[in-house]
Amino acid sequence: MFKTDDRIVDIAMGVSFFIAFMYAAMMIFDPDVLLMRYDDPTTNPDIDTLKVFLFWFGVANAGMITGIIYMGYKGLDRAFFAFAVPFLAFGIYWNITPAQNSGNYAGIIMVSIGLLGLIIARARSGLPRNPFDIPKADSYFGTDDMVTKVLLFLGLIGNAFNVVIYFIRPEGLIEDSPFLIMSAEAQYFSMAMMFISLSWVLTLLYQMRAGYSMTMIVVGLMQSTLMFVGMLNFMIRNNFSGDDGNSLLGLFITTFFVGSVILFFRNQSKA
Amino acid sequence: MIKNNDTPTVVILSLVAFVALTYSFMFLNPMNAEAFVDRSGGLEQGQAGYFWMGLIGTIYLALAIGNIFALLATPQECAVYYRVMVTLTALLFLRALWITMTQEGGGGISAPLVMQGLVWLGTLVVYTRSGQRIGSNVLWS
Repeated sequence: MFKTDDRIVDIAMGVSFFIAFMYAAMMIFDPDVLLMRYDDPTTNPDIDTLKVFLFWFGVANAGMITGIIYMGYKGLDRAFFAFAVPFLAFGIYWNITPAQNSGNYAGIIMVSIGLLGLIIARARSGLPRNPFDIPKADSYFGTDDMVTKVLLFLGLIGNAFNVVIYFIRPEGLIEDSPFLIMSAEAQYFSMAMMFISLSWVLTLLYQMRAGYSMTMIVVGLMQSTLMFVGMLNFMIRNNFSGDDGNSLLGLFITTFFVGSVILFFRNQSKA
Repeated sequence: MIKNNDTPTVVILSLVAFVALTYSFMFLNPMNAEAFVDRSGGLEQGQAGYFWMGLIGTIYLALAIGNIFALLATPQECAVYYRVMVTLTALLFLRALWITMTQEGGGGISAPLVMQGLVWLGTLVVYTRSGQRIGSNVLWS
């Protein structure tokens, strides 16, 4: 697997896969379990709001496991590590406060093991050790296809916008979304969305220099499809009423989904 | 990456996978399941119902993933899968039709009935275009 005969790489990636899979399944399908385990009795946040953020975090993990499956057939890809390593490192940082408040450190330990697995696999993969030693492609994103290039630039700009807007107005996402209710926990959970966008910015910057990555297009397709399906279910649940929605967020998710589908079908034959 | 070279088949399989994923999220998430039961009208809500809906959601999820696998394989490798899908969607359509017909006051054309019909039609098209319909490659003797 992973186009290598190194068993350590297989095992390390397998461990990371298993941990990401477990968190994706829990966060998407049964977030109550996590919220119960990290419950802080001194606070009383809106649980449905926290579930929305956990769903998004689970979607990011689901994208990661898709990337690992893809690389299992096609070989390890630096662009994936440019996304997954910062994402898990941010995940550990994000876990510190809930762990301290609840006394449950399982999340930090599990995510750390997942990150360690990725680092071991990356170190033994034969890819350049220095993460900043990035070969330069002939053109931006290493393709002459204008549609691919424009969509990837759009992704970079959109995610960079998410990061910048978070630092300018951290409460913006919750306040502009009537279905989310503000609390200290909700504000903290919303930081995870910024971390996901920041991880995307890092991998897209890498791809802008080294050339686009089919692994990350597959990861993006998985994440965007799950987010779009989640949004559709939300709309169905609310009888397609626009009162509870956030039109900017809806536009972002729809663009992410449509863009990912176009990117995948335009480039899949070359993979 | 996609091994199936027939564009209509790729489009149909992708759409069916998307619909299956949407339904799986609807049944697996308790809040969505509750809304689904509300919209279906007249059904009593309960934990037992949500438990079975969760099971159906899991099957839908597996079918969505199965359709993606089918995209990544040749039509010949998917012969049995296509037959299972045609049978399953045909039975689901008949069930939806039966429920609609036997509703009190005579139910009209409903969205689930139309969706089931379209999914059945879609899988039939996929099956036919793969050139593997029973009779063309099955020897009964």
